[in-house]
Amino acid sequence: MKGPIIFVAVFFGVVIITLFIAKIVSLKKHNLVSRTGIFRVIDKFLVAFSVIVIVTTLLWDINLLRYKKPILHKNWSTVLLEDFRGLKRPKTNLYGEAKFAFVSTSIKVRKYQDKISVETFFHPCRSYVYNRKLFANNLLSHEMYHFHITEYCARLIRKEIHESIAENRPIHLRRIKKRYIRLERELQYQYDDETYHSYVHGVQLDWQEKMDSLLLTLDDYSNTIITLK
Amino acid sequence: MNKPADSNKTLVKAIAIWGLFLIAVMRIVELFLQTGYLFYIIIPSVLIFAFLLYYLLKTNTYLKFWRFLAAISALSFLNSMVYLIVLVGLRNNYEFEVMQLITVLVATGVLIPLVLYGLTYFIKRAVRR
Repeated sequence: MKGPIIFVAVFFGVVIITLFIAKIVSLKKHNLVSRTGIFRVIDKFLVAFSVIVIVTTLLWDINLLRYKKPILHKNWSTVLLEDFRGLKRPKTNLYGEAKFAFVSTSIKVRKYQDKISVETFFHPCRSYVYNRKLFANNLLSHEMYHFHITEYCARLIRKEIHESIAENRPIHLRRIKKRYIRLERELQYQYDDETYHSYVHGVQLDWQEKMDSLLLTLDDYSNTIITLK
Repeated sequence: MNKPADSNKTLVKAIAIWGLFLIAVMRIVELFLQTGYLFYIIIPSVLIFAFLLYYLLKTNTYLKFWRFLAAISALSFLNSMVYLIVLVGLRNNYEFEVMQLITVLVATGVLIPLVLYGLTYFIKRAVRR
């Protein structure tokens, strides 16, 4: 269904632009409009076109039409496939397969006067599933373990901050964040690669077990707020 | 003559309009035709160079080298900043190669249009002779 829609949109776009150029050429030919007049129209067209395009294409990054606030990791069990509200780029596929999902997670590190907060978020309007009404626990589980990997790295950040405070060392937040975010990306790639995006069920279960244990070992660092003395 | 005179104000206005147009075109290209270096380097560079033609048609003025350099630097910088905001701010792409990518984009976004400008200049001179 998307193919014909895109074709019609492109067709009308080309027709409108051609008519627009033809009108300008005709006006200019009969000296009915000056160069200033033409460029006033062209500039207005360029600005309007650009603003519309930028705002529309922004929806593929953040689907503001179905906006939902980012969800903290402590509420991960409330996340459903229905919460995957993002849009897929028209040409994106997974090894040629159009039916897939992706999740967007992030770590936010903020420093206040007397505390540091390290939070892990799931972004509903940046995450995508090909069918939101799908009942697929395996798929949801796979995506949620991406979220757990992010949380694991956030806990490592919190651990390092705690250790720095205990040993009275200066806290280089940017450096710490940089190091663990790099680790997070590597783990995410490794996870997808080894489980083949959840298709290899046995490896998927191994990863789930491994992540559960790792999170448990860092359970002391699950509090997102670190108080500075 | 009833035409927009070439002035700094006109140039700044033209850069703003063309910058907006450049970002819009790149967003469309990214959605429908993302193909590595073609998308990141060639298309933006050609579009940045096209500013020279746009300004030529608009004001009937062939931009002098330094004014052109200033214009393409501004456009290239603007384009790269948009990439940076999109990649880091919107897509949580924390890979630290992003900064290298941005540097390469700014450099190629200036160098390729400059080479094209040089070629155009020589062609112009050859045609006049």
